Amino acid sequence: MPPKISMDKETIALLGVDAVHDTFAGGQKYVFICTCHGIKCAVKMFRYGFGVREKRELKFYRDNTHNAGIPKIIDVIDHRGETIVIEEYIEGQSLNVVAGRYFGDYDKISKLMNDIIDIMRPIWEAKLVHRDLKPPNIIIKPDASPVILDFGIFKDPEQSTITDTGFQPHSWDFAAPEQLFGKKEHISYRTDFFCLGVIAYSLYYQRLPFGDSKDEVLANFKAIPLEYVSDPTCKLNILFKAVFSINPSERPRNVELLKEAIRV
Amino acid sequence: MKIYHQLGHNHKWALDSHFKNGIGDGFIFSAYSFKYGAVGNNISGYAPEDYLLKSMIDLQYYGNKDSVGGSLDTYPFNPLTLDSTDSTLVKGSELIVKGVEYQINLGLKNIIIPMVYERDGTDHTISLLSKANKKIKSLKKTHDANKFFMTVPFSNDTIIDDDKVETILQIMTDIDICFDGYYVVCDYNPEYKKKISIDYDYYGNLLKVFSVLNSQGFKTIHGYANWDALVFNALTNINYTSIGTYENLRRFNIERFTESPGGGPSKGWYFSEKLLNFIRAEELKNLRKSGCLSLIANEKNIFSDAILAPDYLWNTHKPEVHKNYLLAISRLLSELHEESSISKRGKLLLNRIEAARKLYERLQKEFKVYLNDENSDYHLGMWSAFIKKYITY
Repeated sequence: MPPKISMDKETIALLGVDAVHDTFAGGQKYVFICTCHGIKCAVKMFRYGFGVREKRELKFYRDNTHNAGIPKIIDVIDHRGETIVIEEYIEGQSLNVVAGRYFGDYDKISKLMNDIIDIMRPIWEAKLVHRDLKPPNIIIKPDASPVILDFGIFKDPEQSTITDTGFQPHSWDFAAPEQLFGKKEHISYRTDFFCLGVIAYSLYYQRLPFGDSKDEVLANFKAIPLEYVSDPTCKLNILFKAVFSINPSERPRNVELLKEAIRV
Repeated sequence: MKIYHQLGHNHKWALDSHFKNGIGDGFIFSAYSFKYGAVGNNISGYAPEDYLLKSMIDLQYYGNKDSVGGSLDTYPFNPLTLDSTDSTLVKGSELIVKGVEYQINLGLKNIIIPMVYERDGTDHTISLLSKANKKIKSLKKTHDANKFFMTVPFSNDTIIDDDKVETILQIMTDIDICFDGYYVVCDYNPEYKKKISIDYDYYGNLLKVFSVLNSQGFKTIHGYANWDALVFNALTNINYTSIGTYENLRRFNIERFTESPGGGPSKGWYFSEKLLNFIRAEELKNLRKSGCLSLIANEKNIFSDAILAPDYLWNTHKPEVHKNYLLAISRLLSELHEESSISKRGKLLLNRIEAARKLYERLQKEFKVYLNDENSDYHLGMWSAFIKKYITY
């Protein structure tokens, strides 16, 4: 049973909320899917205040407002010492909800991967890293195009990392070895490449490549080369081989090489 | 794969071996051995139009401010010109650009971007590499016909450290790197009375460097390569492998660029393609007396024929002693690259190693010739085990 959350009347009036359609209580924030002044949007309120992480994420969204594959910020309101972020609502379903549609379908998966790569390309080329690419952070719109969410823990090499503040950045199931082993200095855009490989594998086979528990995955990551089972006829094998490497240096160095690994 | 002569002392022999005997495909000049202004003029009777188009220059900034020796001080942009108060990062990157412009102005197509050497840390190397990348990115806009190879000198401490190698490789293959390739030189520590390393970490990590660079689309030059280049060439694709006459051209050693050279008399060494090893000239007497010299002799090699003649007076400063190696090693390298796949190359070298090991055994059992120290088969078992780890049957 998800926790019940509600918006107070004053906030409802301030934001011009016509209707609240859904609510989510995440680890860091509350999200209200509302219609405000006739526009459907996501209203985000922050459990532990609007700190460094949140400010960084907001700046990221504002800097990348031209990127169609990430949500846009409609407004930011300071109210009674709290910061409320109103974000574009993305019509669609989370990739983990619709994952079954991709089962064994190379064409669909390769298109999705290419779309995600196109969204991420300018971000990676700016030396930024998402660090938490996984199906729940990808919305599939009705036209099957993806939108990537939750840049809350992205890494900017020019700034100190979020992990310096003690925040756990990753989910083990889609994480790269350098994340699980805590090798922060090895985290780069190629960390995201690894996660993309895990997403592609999990969509194709409807199971994770390296194990069903964190311990199992960790044990597997200690093996060289990495071991995973894949049908020899799977057209994604070249991608798996390219990105499933313990050493980031051995993964494709740029988007072109990554895309080449997806093409058959 | 192309074979380039690493030129140094008595470079005429290497030049002659190329122009008269067809050995190798080009040259890597060393600033240490060629005064500023020499390259681009007649060298040992060869006109610039004969050699420049197939040449590169290693400007050898390795010793940084402490560089000494040879002709390094004749180059106005060698880091030894820096004051002790100059920042090696700021000024160093300016000198790198000057060195690159010098090569472009000479009309060279392949440019080796010089880099300093760091024994312990990797931070300075990484910073300088990033700075050089930015500078070369802008230079490339006006010189798109040139190929730019960044020098990466690995110290022995670095190359045997998996983490350091991985860190450097990540920078070398980063998304915004604009270099066309890398000029890789690597220091290594052979054991006492051994000429080449038998350290698995050295082989494993240096192989990883070449393999990763190749798979990431970079061209590679293996500078100061010794005959262990056979192992690397059997297991990955290297675009240029150097061959060198004297030992200091086959083994990168930072001390050469920071200390005055020593050295003593030597009669020289015979490289045997059958034993895959150098044999001290003095040992040849014993082999001859025991009636087995012909077993280790190189085939179809006029230089070998000359220096194995009974009346030959051995001296390490004779050209044919070195030309024997140049011809033998270039043939061995070329033979590997005639194979259609890496797996086949690995198997071919394994067969040669097995034959060499059997020959060592035969020399002992049949002829009572026991070759020891550098002359022994100390490296062959390790080579064999290493190659087997990487090839599929």
